[in-house]
Amino acid sequence: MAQQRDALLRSLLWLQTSHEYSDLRIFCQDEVFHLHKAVVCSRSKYFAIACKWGKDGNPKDEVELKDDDSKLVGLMVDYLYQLNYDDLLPSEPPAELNQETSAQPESPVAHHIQCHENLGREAPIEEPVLEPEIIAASEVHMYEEDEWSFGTGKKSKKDKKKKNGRLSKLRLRDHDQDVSTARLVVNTLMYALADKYEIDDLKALAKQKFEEAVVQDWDSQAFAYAAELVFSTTPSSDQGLRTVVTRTINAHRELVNYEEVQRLLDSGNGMAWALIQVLLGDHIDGW
Amino acid sequence: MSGRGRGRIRAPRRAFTKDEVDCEQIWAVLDKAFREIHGRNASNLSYEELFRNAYKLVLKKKGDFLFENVKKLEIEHLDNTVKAQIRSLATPTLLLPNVGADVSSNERRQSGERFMAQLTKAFNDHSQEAGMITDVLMYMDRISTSEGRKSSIYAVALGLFRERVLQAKANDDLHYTILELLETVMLEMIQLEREGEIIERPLIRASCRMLENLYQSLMEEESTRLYLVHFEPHFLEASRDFYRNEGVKLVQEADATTFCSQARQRLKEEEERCQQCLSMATDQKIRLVVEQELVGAHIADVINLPGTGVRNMLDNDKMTDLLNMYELVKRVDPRLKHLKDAVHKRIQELGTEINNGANHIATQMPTRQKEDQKEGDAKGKEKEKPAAQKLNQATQAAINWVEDVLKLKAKYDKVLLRAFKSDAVMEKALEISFQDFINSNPRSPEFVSLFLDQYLKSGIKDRSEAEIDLLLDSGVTLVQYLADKDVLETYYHKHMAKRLLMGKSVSRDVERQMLSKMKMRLGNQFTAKMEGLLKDIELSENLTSGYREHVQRQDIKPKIEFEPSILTTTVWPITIPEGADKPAILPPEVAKAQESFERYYHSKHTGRKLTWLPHMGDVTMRVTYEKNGKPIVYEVTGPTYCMIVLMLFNEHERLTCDQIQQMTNIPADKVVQTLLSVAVAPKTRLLRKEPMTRDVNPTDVFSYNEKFEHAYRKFKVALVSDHANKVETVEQRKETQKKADDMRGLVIDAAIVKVMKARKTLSHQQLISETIDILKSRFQPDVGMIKKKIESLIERDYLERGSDASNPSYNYLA
Repeated sequence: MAQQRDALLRSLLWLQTSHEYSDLRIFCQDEVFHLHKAVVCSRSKYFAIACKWGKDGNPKDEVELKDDDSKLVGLMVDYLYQLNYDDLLPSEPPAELNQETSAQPESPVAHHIQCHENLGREAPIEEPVLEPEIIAASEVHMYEEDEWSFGTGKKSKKDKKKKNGRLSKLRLRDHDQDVSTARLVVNTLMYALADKYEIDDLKALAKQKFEEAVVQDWDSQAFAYAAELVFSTTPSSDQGLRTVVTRTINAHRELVNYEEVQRLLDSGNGMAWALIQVLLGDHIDGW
Repeated sequence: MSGRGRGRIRAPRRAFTKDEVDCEQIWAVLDKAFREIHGRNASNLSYEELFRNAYKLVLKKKGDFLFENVKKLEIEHLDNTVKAQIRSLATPTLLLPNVGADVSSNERRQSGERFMAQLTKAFNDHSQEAGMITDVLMYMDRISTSEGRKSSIYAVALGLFRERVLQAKANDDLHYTILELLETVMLEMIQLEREGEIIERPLIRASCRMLENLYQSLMEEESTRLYLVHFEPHFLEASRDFYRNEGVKLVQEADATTFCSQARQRLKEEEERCQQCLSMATDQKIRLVVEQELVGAHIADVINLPGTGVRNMLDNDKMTDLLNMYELVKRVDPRLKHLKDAVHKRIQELGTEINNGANHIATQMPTRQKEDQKEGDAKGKEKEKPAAQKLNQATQAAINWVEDVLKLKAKYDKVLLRAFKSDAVMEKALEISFQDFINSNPRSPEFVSLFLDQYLKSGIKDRSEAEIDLLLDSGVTLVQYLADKDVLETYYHKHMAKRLLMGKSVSRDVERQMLSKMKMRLGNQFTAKMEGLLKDIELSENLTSGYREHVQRQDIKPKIEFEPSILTTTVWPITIPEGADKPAILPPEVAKAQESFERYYHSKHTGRKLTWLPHMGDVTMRVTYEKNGKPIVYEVTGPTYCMIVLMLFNEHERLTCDQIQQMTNIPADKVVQTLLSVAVAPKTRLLRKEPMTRDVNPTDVFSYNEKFEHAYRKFKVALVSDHANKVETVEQRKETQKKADDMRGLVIDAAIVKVMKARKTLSHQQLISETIDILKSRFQPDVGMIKKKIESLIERDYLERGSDASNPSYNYLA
């Protein structure tokens, strides 16, 4: 069967690249995707309905995706034709990245902060300055040894730390990596896109890839960024990635010591509450 | 991956984050679009845009806000637009109760149709529009229903249609909802159709579809469909009334045939109506209504309708009518009681007629014969023939009886197959009916055996082998119906013995086939005796052929051919007459042959005794007469006694009856019988008798009749009582009955002992019932007889009574 399945997948790939028999065009930003209703509409209820809504009750063969990123839509198309997508994106040149992250407000993290502001934060958070930095080993060690508990002692310690000034920051995993191209972020966004267009199998794949990435990158800045996105791009009833994020923080409790994570917990996007639920779940007998 | 340039992915462009989104503003866009959808003006709407707007609201946790607003919008639309339209069609003609079939009824009908058309169109439009709105709100629907908090917006929109339109009052002044009005209109239409008018079926159908797609509750449980909750009960009630009235009318006015075809037609109509207009869910229920009100309430009367009921249908082979009837009865009563009774009654009547016909002739015979004998003195020589004919007539009547029964059976087999669909219940009922009347004729075992004899005899050529085979088969079927199989066994045994001895049997093979047919249906026990006959006759043949070879070896040309049948006494139903040890004196030549054979026999089997039964034998001899001076040789075949008597006249001129008896040692009655055959029977007066009367007296004188003539050179002298199997006289029958009873006594004894031997101790009641169980395959045992036999077994110390007198029981004594 493997041979036959491969043949089917080859033919789908050929359809995707050759645009042969294409009967559906998707417009997204500047890009046009030449696709096939048979492939797309049968996988996504959204596209099936959209193609129904032509003029005067006739079927339609153009769909415009205004709010979506064309790169991401491209990956979604890859998935629809190839059953997989590549979440390792080539980064922008490192020099450029450094410039952007340090100076330009257009940086991904800047976006992310803005997003918080617009969603109703009382006070704008100061633009973070990302400095590539290695976390002091002693500090990590300290939190590994301490048993975290929901007690005032630890909290005051934390408070003290905060008062003391700067918290330690999460590292940038690779010096030249752009946070927005991180696998965690790509998969988070793919998860949201799949949710929006009702492609449940793609959602499951995105979640799986997210889980794989989080094992490596839980201590990166990308994690904080992705975590923030998780809590803002799907409805609160969607537990999928939320659970992964809270479990990860629970498993690596030292994360709460980092500025980016604390900022998230403060933001009121539901993450703090979700985390408490996980913690309570763990210690339910102690209550 | 494709060669498309890859860059970093920007986070979603958050339009709503950038330009401080106003929920109201987004709603305004959706609100406008939804109104356009309701206004059937949706072709310019962009689905993607509407979806995006709804998606944004939901992501911003405004799902509830969106949901409530849509609901409000729907209510407003239904109240202001849809309901108003429908109500405008609920015209006064429609709202007033129907007042009979006048001109206004046509008007009423038309406005009803308009009303239904508008309402169903409004519903179809609404569900289509709700579908579009649901498309737009796809994301909201998924999130809110997945959280389990809300019903789908589509279900809500349809529920609102029920609430705001159907359950709204049709008119401000009346307590009449639009739904009730619709049902009234639908029921009136269906009533019209039942009365034979053509109605707008698509409208009924569309209305039913609508009611099926709407639910009483938002949970949309199957059982709360409006169709089931509202329409169906009213429909069934109205139908019940309709068919109650129709049933009464039909029984009063129509005949059974019309009733049945009308009822079946109605059932078909209702089924078709359910398929095409209403709902298959109603199919069973409406069928039940028709079955109860139209069929069940009247079918018993219809079955027994004089002149046209089942009896008439049966008599006139109205298969279609019977089939209709059967199908109807089957619906209301799977046990088919009334139909069964009617058929049973008719078969009983016809069977009794057949019985009476046959028994009339059979019992009439002896008395008629006496009359003949009185007249016989006057009529003289013409007397013998009619008497023989009468005898044949009686036998013929017996055979006719069987044929009539078979004809009746064939007819009802056809009815069973074609009208009753080989229904097992009817099959059993027919079997019982036939059994009943066959067994109410006490002579049926004899008749059946005679019938079989008729077709097992050689020389009947007017039927093909296949036909005869078929007749024999059906004969065996009748055998199964007989309760007293042991009596049949006795008769068949006797008849078969005669066939074999007289050489009348078609062939051994056919006899054997017949036995295996009976064996298959009645068991080994039944045919054991008959198989014994076949075996014995074969043994005898071997013996005689051995003898013949023996004679040839001796090189003496025998003057006579001697063919004895050597039979085992116990196997054959032949009573050895008294005085058989002093047999008739044979003419010397014959006596010599007999002695020679006896010697041969004893050389083969020592210690056995041969008893000769000359009265069973036949002889063929040559007798010489003169005509016009020329000698004529006749070849005469007749009983052995006949030969013995005739041979006397080779040496004696005149002999009296007494003399003949003394010289031959033939029993006196046989002498008389023989002399009647050779001197009185009109065609075979080989001897002259003086005086020439019809009776033979001991002093009558016989002499050689030189004037004897016969039309044929070969002829047969028949004894007055012939060898052929025929109906028994009353006395013979009593004899047979007595024999059967004696035999039964033994069988009952054996059965009781068998039961008790197995059980050791048993209550009286149980013993009786177990004994009957064993016996009933052979005959219908008489309980009184069983009791008597128990008594006698106690006397003979096989059994003893149990000690408890209040609960009579028996113990077996080994």
